[in-house]
Parts: sequence; structure tokens; C-alpha cells
Amino acid sequence: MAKTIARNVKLKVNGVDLSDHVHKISANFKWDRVDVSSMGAIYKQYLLGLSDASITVDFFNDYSSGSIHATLQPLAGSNTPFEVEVTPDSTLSASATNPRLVMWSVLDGYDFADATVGQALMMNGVTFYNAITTGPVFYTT
Amino acid sequence: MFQPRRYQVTGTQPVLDHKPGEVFEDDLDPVQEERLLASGALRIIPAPPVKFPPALDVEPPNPEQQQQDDGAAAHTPEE
Repeated sequence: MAKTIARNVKLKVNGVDLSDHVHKISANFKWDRVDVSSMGAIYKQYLLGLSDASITVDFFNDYSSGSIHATLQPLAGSNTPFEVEVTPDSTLSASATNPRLVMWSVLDGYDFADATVGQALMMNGVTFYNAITTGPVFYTT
Repeated sequence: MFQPRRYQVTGTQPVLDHKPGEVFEDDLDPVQEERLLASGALRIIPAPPVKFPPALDVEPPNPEQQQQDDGAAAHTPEE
């Protein structure tokens, strides 16, 4: 996949395809930066510690049956993980150049409504956090 | 062990690659199923009633006749 315009990113949450309500999505990977500087050092020295992963989504909100609010509401606040799946291009099958990210997640909250007069009703900053010790998996098939 | 069930997508969004209105069979994880039902994304289609074959036209055994037969067998002299 060469440089591309984001038009068909696919998002599935607990098996429900919410792609057509996604305004913005970012999947983040981060490692703790542990300071291991010792006496005699001139520069700080770091090692990387535990990794962390999350997926943050801005949705156009929808209160219809089986849509955004209805899908997220039973998931929020539960410690039983659910699958969140992101595919860069839904028109192509998963491959090395179009890897499908699957992350078992928990959801610690969401905004019921994020509203500005005259603007689309949003649900911004919904963040799914990794919930299993092995972390997310990239599938290429 | 999960039993396959029939579901219909009742919400506005596709579920497990099935479009709204579509009927499919799957053996969903119970927690996932519970959440999808709670959100209105799916409904369970009840299994059709089981049809038994028509009853055979045989008279039920007569208990009195059964006892007589047993008694006769008990007094049969041994050879």
C-alpha cells in the first residue's frame, strides 16, 4: 500500500461494523520510558518497559438500535474484554500491506453526547484500552 | 459447548459481516451474544417446533393379560 487517503478504514466493535459513523480513528502503541540514569552520566539513559495499546475514535453519534450508543453502552464499565478490529482498507482483504488489527479491549467510559449548536452530534474520544497481557495482534490473512 | 442459533440483524449496522435484516446461524460466545442482544443489534430466531412422526396404530399392552402370561410361564413344568 502506497501513500493513501483514508476513506475506507473499517472499525468493528464486538462484531458490530461502526465504520460508517467514524470521523476519526487512531490506534496507538506506546512503551513506558524508564529512566535508568546512574551516577557519572551526562545524558539521561532510558530503557523501554511495559507496552500499552489503545484505539481512540471520534464517532458521529447515533442512538438507533444496534448503533453507536447502543453498542457501547453494554460494553462500558465491564472487565470482560471484547474485540475491537481495525482494517486500514475495508475494500481489500487483509494482507501484509493491509494488516487487520485485533485488540481485546475494555471501555472505561464515553460521552453520551458531545454537542455544539449547529454542528453534527458527536461522541468524541472514545478510547478502547488493551485488556489482555499478550496485547493486540496483526493479522495479514 | 455452544449450540448454533439462528439470529437476525435487527440494528442499523452490520454485525459479524451480516447486513441489517439478514438471518444467519452462529455459535456466539454467550457474553458477546448478551451484549449484542442488549444493544438491539440482533434478535434470536426461535427454533421451529419439533415435529414427531405420526403415532403408530398399536394398542397399549394390557397389564392383566401380561400378569396371566407371566404366571403361566412360571408354572411351566421343567423337562
